[in-house]
Amino acid sequence: MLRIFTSRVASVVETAARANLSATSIVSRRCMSKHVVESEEEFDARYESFFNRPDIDGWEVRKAMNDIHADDLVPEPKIVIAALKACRRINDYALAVRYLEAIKDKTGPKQGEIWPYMLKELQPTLSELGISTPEEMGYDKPEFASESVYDMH
Amino acid sequence: MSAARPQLRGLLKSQLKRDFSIAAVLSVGAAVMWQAVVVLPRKRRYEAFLTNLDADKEFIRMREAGVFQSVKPGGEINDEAW
Amino acid sequence: MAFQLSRHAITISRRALSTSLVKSQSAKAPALNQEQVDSYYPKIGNRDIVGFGFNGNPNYQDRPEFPAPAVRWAPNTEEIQALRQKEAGDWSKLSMEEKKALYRASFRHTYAEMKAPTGEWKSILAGTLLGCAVAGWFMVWLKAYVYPSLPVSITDEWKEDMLEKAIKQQQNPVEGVASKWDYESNRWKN
Repeated sequence: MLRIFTSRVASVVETAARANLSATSIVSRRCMSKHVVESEEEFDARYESFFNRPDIDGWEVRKAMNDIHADDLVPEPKIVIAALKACRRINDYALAVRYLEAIKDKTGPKQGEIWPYMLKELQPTLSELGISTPEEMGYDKPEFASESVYDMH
Repeated sequence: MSAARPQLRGLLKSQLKRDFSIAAVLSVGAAVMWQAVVVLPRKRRYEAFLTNLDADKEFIRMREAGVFQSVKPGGEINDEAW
Repeated sequence: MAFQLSRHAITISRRALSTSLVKSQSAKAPALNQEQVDSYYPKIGNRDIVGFGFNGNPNYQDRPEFPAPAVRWAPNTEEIQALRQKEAGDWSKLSMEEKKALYRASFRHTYAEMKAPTGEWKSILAGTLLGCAVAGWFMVWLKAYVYPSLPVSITDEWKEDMLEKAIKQQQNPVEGVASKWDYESNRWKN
């Protein structure tokens, strides 16, 4: 009985230790068994405070961006502002523009309604940080085409 | 023109709700139309035919037309058929 | 002893699963062991690994649902290194070409290019129609050289006789052919 208990504990320690070392053990919204439901404000506050961490690094910015992109929502402007400032802190301009494009894509069929609103909310931050929008960079239309990877033999 | 704050959350969810309700309405509508245009007239036709059917008269008409193998026009049994 | 170990384990596991955001132990780049370096770096060459990506492997794929892939697109060259120095400064001082160069250094395609139509439907349609044409010519050859002649029951006289018999037998009296015949006056109903 004790042997079974210690072996099970040992496996938990092993997986937890591996999780800690792999630098991906951070943003998990749900515990394994309980169904944690958080309100919208809590969700927003969590992502905003995550992006606003002064010691954030590129790995975590990308992880949080990919995670929030997977949800059925367009991020609140305040979250996007925090993400753009995080890109500024890690000195990655391309990622900031990429994220703007990602949000524009996330609006889906309601792009004409949501994207101008987003741009209006983000304009102060964009001018402050010196980020050009995808439209200003000419990236709202395709610039060039490449061979599809499925056609390369 | 300043737009009111658009919906940002649950866009897919609201789209699915709208799509499912449209699908439900269309399905029920299609079923009702099928009943009205196909099923009920068919039932009425069968009812009309079967209540007014005189099977013996139809048998004699077919017999005189020479359709049967076992009985000849006129009523005589046909032994050469088998 | 086992009790202390279990309490320690619960603390670690709770931290790993917690909803608060804990800083991971790696700082800028992931800590790879030699085996991982040998397996990844020949494939990715001089590129930075910048994130987890969509499956944990250091690959690059343009996916609309994953804005930030695991590696940068372009390998690090002298020009790009110089651009990175400039990137550490004020972004409003970057020219448009430099901004575009920075974007293309990290990413292969923009979202517009990712989602642009490929015109593949033309080759698909062409291939399908080609298949149909081959099948059609095969059917012509079968008709010319393989099929026996049509049976006599296809002729109009035979078909008229069949129709006459169907009416005499009162086939399908409710919805079909006999329902269209008026038996009282021996002609078709209008």
